[in-house]
Amino acid sequence: MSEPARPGRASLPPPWPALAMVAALLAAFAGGPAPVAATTFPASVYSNVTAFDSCDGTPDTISRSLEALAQGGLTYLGYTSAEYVTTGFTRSRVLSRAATDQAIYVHSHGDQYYDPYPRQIQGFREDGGDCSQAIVYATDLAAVRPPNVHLVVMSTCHLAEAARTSGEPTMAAAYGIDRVKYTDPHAPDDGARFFLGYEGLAYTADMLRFEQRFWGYVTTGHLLGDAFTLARVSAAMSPSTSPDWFGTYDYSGAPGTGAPCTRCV
Amino acid sequence: MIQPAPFESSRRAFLARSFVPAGLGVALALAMAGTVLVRPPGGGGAAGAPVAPAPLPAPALDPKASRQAAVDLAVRLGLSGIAGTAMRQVDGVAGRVVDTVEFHGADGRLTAEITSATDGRLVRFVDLTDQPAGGAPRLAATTVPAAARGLLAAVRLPVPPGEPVNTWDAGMDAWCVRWTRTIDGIAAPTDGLSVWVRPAGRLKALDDIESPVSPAPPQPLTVDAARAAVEAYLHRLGLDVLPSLTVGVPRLAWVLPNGFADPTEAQAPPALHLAWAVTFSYVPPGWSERHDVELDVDATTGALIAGTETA
Repeated sequence: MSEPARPGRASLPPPWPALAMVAALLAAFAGGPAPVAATTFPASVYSNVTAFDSCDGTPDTISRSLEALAQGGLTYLGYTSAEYVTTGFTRSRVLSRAATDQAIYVHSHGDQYYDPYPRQIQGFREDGGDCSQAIVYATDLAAVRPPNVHLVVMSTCHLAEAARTSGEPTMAAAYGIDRVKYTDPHAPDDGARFFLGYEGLAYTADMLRFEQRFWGYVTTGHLLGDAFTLARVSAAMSPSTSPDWFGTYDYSGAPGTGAPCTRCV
Repeated sequence: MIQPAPFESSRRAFLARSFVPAGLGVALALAMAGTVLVRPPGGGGAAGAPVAPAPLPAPALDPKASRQAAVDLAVRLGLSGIAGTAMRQVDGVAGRVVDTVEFHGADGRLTAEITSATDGRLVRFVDLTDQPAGGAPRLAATTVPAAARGLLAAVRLPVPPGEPVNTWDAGMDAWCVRWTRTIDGIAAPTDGLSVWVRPAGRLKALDDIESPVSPAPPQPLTVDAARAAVEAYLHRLGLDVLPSLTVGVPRLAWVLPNGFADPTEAQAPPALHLAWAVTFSYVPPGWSERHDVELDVDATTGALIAGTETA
C-alpha cells in the first residue's frame, strides 16, 4: 500500500508539527501519493478538559493543547483520528470505539483504582462534562480491543506502572503490548506496537513540554523510540515527571505495512 | 489542524516552530533582538543582574567549526555515523541559538545528535545507537555519579559543584544524574545539567539548560504574603471549604512563567523568575484520590505566574 508523502526536514524538530503538516499538504498538491483510505486506520484522541478546569477550579489550557498535538501526530502517521472532549469523552464512547481503534491517545486522570478494595485495576477517568467522571478500566478495554492496536499513549499519572494487584492487566497489556522494550529484530508479531505513559505522578506542565517535543519528533520522521529519547532529553522537564514506553523501539508509528518515516531503514 | 498551545510562551512557540537553517535562524534572532532575553555576562548564576535586551550577538563560531567539533567529539566517544552539516536553529526550550549536527549510519538511520551553543559549548548530546534493552542496571547506584563525572570530563564539560541526584530512568534505560541549577542558593527545577548513563557505564545522553534569568527583587515578597495570595486563590475557587485541603510550606524557586493561573503569563518570555512555590492538595468532591497542585507566586510582583497539577 502506498503511503502519503512525508516531509523529511533534517533538523531539530519544533514542539509543533505545523510545519510538517504544511509540508504534507504541499506534497499532496504537488502530486504526491494519494493518502490512505479514510476509514482504514481508525484512531481516537480523548482529552479530559473538565477535570483540569472547572472540577479543580484552575483555568486549564493544557488539555486542549495536548489534544491538538496528539491529533496532529496521529493524522500525520496515517490514522483517521477523531477527537473527543467534555461530553464527547465518555466511558461508553471509549469502549465502543475501542473495538476498532488501532491507535488511542488519552489525556486524563489515571491511577490504579480500587475495584473493590484491596483489588487495584489500572484505569483513567472519562470527562463526561461533569465532575463525577466514571473510570474506564484496563479490564474493560482488554475485553473489547481488536488484535491490531499499534499505538497507545496514556497521558495520565501511573499507567506505565506495573500492576499493583497480581494478575490484573496493566494498561499496556490491555492493548496487547508487553511491558518490555524491544528492538526490531527481537520484537514479537510485526513489531508495530508502542505504548507511551508515565510512571508515578505526572505534572501537566511537564507533560506538555514532553509531548510537544515527542510529537514534534514523530512528525519530522523519527522512529518512536528515537522520538521518545530525543524528547526526554530536550524537554526540560522537572524531575518529578517520568515518561516511559514499551513495545518496539524501531516502530515508525504508522499503521499498516511500510514505514512512513523518512529516517527508517 | 494543530493549534498552538497557549500554556507556553507564544514567542517561544513561534521561535520553536521557526527552526530554520542557519542564516535565517540567526536573522530571526537578530530581528527579535529588541525583546530576546539573554543571560547576563558572567554566567547564569547572577540573579541580581538585570535581564537586558540582547545587543547584537557576540561573534559566533562558524557552523562549519561547530560541525568539526561535533565530529571530533564523536570520534573521541567512538560513535559511528556520518556527520551532516551543522544546522543553526533557535532552540525553543531555552530560547537560544544552537548548532545541531546529526549523524547517520550507512543505512540512513539516525545514530546521534550533537548540539552546541554558538560559542562552541556542548549543550546536548544523544546517542541513539545504544538502544534500551530493558535489562537491569549493572552499575551500582553509588558509583554512577562518579561515572557521570568521568563522562563529563570525556566531553570536556566542567563538573558542576555539589552532589547530583541520581535516579534510574526506565524510559531511557539509563541512570539519570542531575545537577539542578541553583541561583544564589535557590533551585531552578527545570534548569540544570542531566547526564544519562547506560547500565554498563556508557554515555547515553546529556542536556545542559541555563535559561535566562530575570532580576531578583531587592526585597522578595514575604512568605506570609505568598501564602495569602494562594489562600485568596483557593477562596476564589471555593477550594478552601474542602476538609481534605492541605497547603504546604512555601519555598523559593526560580520558575518559568506559564498560563496555569493567568493565561496572560503564557505570553511572558522564557526567563526564570524568583517565586514562592506553594503546593496544595485536596480530594475533589466524589473522588477518593488526592489531587496535587503547585502554584507559583512571583516574589517581585505577587502575581500568580505559573503552576502545575497532577494528572
